[in-house]
Amino acid sequence: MSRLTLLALPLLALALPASAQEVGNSDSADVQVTGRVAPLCILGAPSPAAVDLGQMVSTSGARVGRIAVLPVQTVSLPRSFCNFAGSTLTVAATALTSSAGGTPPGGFARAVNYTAAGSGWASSPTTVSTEALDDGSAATASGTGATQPLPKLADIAVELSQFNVPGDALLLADRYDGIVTVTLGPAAVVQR
Amino acid sequence: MRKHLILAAAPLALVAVPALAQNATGTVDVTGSVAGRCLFTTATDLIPLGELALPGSDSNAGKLDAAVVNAGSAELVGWCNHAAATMDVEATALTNLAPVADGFTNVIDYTAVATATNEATASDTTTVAGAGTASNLGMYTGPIAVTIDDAASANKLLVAGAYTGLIKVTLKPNYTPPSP
Repeated sequence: MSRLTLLALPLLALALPASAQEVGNSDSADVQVTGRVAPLCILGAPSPAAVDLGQMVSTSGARVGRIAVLPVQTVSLPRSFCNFAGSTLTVAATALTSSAGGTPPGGFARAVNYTAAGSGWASSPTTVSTEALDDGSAATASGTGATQPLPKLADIAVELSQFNVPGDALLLADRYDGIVTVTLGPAAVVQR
Repeated sequence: MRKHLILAAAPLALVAVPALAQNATGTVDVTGSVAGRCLFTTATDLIPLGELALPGSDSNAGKLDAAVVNAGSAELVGWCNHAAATMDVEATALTNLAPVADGFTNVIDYTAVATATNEATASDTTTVAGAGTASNLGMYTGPIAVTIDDAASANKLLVAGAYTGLIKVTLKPNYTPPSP
């Protein structure tokens, strides 16, 4: 009888941690899932895609033959975005210049300058003004705005205004073309 | 002749004396037990999904390419030694620590599914915290396939960067052998 008692005690001792043992006999496996998203900037399709200023000079009055007051033109680039922090909006504008090249006669010019301002991205617009000479040279100017500190999804508006002619000269008759290039991209890294 | 009988009886009496002692039988019970147990013999795997955003420049560019995520799969191997065993899954969303802005997200939700061939299927969606409902697995040994489904990111643009998530599959024996 005494031997039975001695045997029972160790068995009870083994039985006590049984519930904890059950938990310990579970097992888990981990599957890590990874992926990446590349930095990306997309500009919405410009609307309108082309801006036609029409007849640019006054045809009567005191300023006949000189540039008229042209209305502000606005181009929208809807739902433009960069999916990373630290992007900038760059606007490069080329003055309207006549198809024919060469030096214009005295008192005439073959270039129309203007100011292009891209807004809706950073804290202030990216503004650039062309400064073409009367012969149409040095027609392109470029400017980069402030850094956008977050990913950004926005409608960008590019406003063309303040059309003017170098020296307020008479404009040579011709077809005039200019171009505005809008670029979204990463902010330049400052070398230290 | 008579004398002979007496001589023969004496040895018989001598043999009968020990027969009066009692036989003793001893028994030894041999017992053992096998605890309920589950074990993964292949306990880790990786699902490298690669680029998660749609390419191109249309209205969906930069949004989640759900097909890429939904094609993710892995295989674990494990066993459970009792019919009461269960399997459950707990999945955490693919996330990116980069800051977000309006129109963007850095979270990709999905449903993870674990399938023990011909035995049990358990799943969990990352939109609800904690593990999904446990599924009866029973006595099983073999592969456990892990797949992904229902990937979604609220139709928002994805913030650039690295995304990581985790799928944890747990096997539980749910059995303790009775004490002898």
